[in-house]
Amino acid sequence: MQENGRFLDDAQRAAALRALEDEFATTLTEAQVLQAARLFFALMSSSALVQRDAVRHEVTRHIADQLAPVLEGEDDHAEEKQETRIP
Amino acid sequence: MIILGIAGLFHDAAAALVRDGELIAYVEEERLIRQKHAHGKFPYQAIRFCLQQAGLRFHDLDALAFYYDCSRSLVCDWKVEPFFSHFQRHPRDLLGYIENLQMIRSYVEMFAKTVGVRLEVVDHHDCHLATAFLCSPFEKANILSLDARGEAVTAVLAKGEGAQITHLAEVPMPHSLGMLYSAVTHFLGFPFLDGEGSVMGLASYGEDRFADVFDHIVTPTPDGFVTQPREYWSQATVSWLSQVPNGLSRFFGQPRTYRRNPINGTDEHIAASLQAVTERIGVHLFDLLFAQTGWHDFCLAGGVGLNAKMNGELAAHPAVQRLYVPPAANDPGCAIGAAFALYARETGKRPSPLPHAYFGPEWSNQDIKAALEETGVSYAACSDVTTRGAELLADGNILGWFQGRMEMGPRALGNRSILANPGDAAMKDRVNNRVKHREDWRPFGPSVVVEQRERYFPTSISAPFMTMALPTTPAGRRDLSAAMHVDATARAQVVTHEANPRYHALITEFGKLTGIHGVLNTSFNLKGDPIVNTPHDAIAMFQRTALDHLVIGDFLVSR
Ligand SMILES: [Fe+2]
Repeated sequence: MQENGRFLDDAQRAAALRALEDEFATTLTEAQVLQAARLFFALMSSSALVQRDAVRHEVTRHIADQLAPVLEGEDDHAEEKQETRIP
Repeated sequence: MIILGIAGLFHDAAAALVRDGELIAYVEEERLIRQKHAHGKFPYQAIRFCLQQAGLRFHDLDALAFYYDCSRSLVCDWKVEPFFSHFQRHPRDLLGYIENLQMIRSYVEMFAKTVGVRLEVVDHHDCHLATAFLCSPFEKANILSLDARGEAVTAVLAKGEGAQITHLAEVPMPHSLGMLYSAVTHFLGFPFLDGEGSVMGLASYGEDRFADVFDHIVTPTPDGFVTQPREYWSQATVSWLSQVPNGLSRFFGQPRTYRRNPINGTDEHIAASLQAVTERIGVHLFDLLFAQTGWHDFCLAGGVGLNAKMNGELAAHPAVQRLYVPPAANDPGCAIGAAFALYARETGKRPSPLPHAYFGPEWSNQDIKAALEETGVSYAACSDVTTRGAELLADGNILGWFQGRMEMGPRALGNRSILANPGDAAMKDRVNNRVKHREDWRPFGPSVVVEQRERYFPTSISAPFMTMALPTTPAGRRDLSAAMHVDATARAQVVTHEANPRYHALITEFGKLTGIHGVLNTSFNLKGDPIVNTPHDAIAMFQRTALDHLVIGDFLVSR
């Protein structure tokens, strides 16, 4: 998990932690509980904590470094393949 | 239809390429990046190998199949006790848990988007079930996925018919036999993912003296089993459970640190009782499957499917006629399972069963010669490596044996193997002291030719992948004494000509010379390293250890 930390957004993370702490706090008003719960479920179903730019950067770099030979190439192999796919 | 199956970002990354239902290429990332279990890695190198092996590029692919549905995990398992109570006290842990899954999901989606291929996510157990059943030769069979965990459940009982796999029962989180095994492994001082096999080996030195403890922790039920999670779930095995001590201390005292010899009058009995309860639950789950279907063929996968001792017991289950445990029963094999499951789902057709386990990288004699020249070892071309290899083995040499495409899974199956004469009981210590440096109480396994199977094993079960510990006959105990465990079982590989002609020929030749129709076979790696992949890896290990000879392609390397 430490290794994955590089993809996380610190500000979002702090806000999310506050929301979670509220979610579990016992002294909230009903409205506060509802608000915290809404935030919490948004967090569960989204990718709000991830810095998508950091992920994009790393994935792109690895693909360029390690997968260049199998990427869509400038050779004419790509065209041949496309032709065969046209019904 | 062309599908690239992907496992990774947790541990044990791998990739598999399936073209029109046929496996074309598969390799574990650890073998290529030389980092055991490839923790946290995405299988870039494995993907590159698979595409190059098939002569394809990304734009040729119809889909990527990923082996874990993070979204399902995110909405399911945090609500489960005892996690929910824990998260109430430690919201930061919940955040860590959410972050990890969000990151993995985003990473895979980003990869698919960047390479421009459609992404399909396959439920983790559906991957294991597919690896178990769709790789098997059975038209219909009972299937068991027994794991540490999936998205929401830890075990699935299912049946397979043609291309169709139907769930019959599920064991929900947090009740996990795999997690219990790992927790005890860690408690006894062995590492997660590698230590489980050591604990299984250790169990044969003990007796089931702690049945009361383990019967309290695990209870069979009419649809699976339940456990007492607070007794074994802890930070030791689940990183996001911070400040949760190992519950096993309540029964067994302080967690142990690693010792080369753990046999101390207690710990081997803990291992034995853990193993016994694992086998009881395995038998119970087979009973349940048989009661539902009445079928006699069984398939098994998931991390617990690596437990060869349990598998040997299951093979002897009265309802079992045939048992198939794939060579990569654990998570890397899910790369195949994900691709096979997706193929079956989208075409309604059944993928082709695996004819053998050899789908990894391969080097030509020319590549090998170049590597030999580069490293400056003394070598000679050899026109008949099987005869020469058999002679060297018969003379008591320890051989590195490197041939053809690399095998899948954690066991060497005769293409990246260290071999020796199993008839000499002292050979076990020699292999350990000179080459492997493993704990001396752990056993090696034998590879025997199928024609002589009944001579050594009182069973007709097919065991091509070293996934089952089988009882031995008196002839087996005599001829295979260095490749047998203290309980007189052997984790055997039964070799056919069809699956591996060169290895089969080697063992056959060795049999003609010695009257022993098997060889001691252990993986070609040092303790803690992945199995060798390239000629350079093999030559480096030859240079670093006291291997007597290395037979590599059509060359013989000697000192
Ligand atoms: Fe798994």
